Amino acid sequence: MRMLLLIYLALTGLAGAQDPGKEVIGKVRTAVLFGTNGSPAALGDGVVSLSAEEEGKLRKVAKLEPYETFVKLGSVEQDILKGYKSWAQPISNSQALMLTFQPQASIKESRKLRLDVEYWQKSKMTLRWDRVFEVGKRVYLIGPRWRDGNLIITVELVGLKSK
Amino acid sequence: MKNDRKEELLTRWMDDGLSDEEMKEFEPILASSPELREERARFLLLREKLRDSVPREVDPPFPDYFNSHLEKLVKADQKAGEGIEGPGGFAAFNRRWLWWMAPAVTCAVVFAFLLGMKSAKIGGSSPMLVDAAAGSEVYSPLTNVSTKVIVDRESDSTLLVVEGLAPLSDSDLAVGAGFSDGHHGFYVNVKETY
Repeated sequence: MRMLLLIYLALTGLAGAQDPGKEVIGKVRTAVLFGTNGSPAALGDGVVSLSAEEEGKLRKVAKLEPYETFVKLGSVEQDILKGYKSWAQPISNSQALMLTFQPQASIKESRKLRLDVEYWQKSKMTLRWDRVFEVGKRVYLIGPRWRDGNLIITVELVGLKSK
Repeated sequence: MKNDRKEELLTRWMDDGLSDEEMKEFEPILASSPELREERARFLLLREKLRDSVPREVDPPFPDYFNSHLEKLVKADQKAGEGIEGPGGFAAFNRRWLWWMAPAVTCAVVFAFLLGMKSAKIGGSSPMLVDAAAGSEVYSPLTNVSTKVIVDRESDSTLLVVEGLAPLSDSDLAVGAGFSDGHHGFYVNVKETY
């Protein structure tokens, strides 16, 4: 059994070595938030309340000002591979909201990474955003309406491997 | 300073996209190469001339967009030609000239499309929020979608307000069993990035 495991590790290591594009260069966290005037309990299990600080930040945007409550519906952390486009699905079982990340490695610098981010809604590429992301600085995409409120998608570079 | 960083700052400076902080970072480069200002002035003049000469808004880039648009232009020109001039050698020459011009028209349409790509609009709703789109470019293939980038300097975060997205339903979000964190997606090899 141990021998099999060693062979498996050796083979996977070899495969990784053969493809420089598989090098992990960072990690990105995406989340889906929801601004509503309804009760969070009506949303079912799994929703997480946001901090007052974050709620205040969101309420500064005119479009989100009317909402009393903000909750997180789901999130996911995903590796960024050097030569691959990474797809993230922040809400379990739902592919209606998905994001892709593709690093532009040529201008990578310390704690910053230029990423091509695509927002896909119901299998349609809806928005492409090319911007420099900085570790720890969250970006909010004020997205589509749902029920009585508004969905917000967040993207944050949570880690970046130094060269 | 690394060459990559210099290049990035230079490119954004050319596009008027540097923040105050980045401008401070860029000042020494500018001081050591004063000719850059002249280069930029020439570039801006050229850009203005190009923008004036082609339309800024075009239809969305569907796969058959260029062909159909080109066909439309050719047909419209043919009709106009027939209406103004009778049959004859000169009209035939005009048609031939039109077909020879097809590649140029294609280039113009492609260029118009690139200019038509919707960049982030600058705007704000509160004095606490500062408008800036430095170093970012937003594009949507959907004509009814518009965007506005807002930088909240107080919390040092960026907000992209998107208007015109279709609303989602409960079935889209699969809310039946409550919410839980998502899954790692998959990875698609993109050879040209390395």
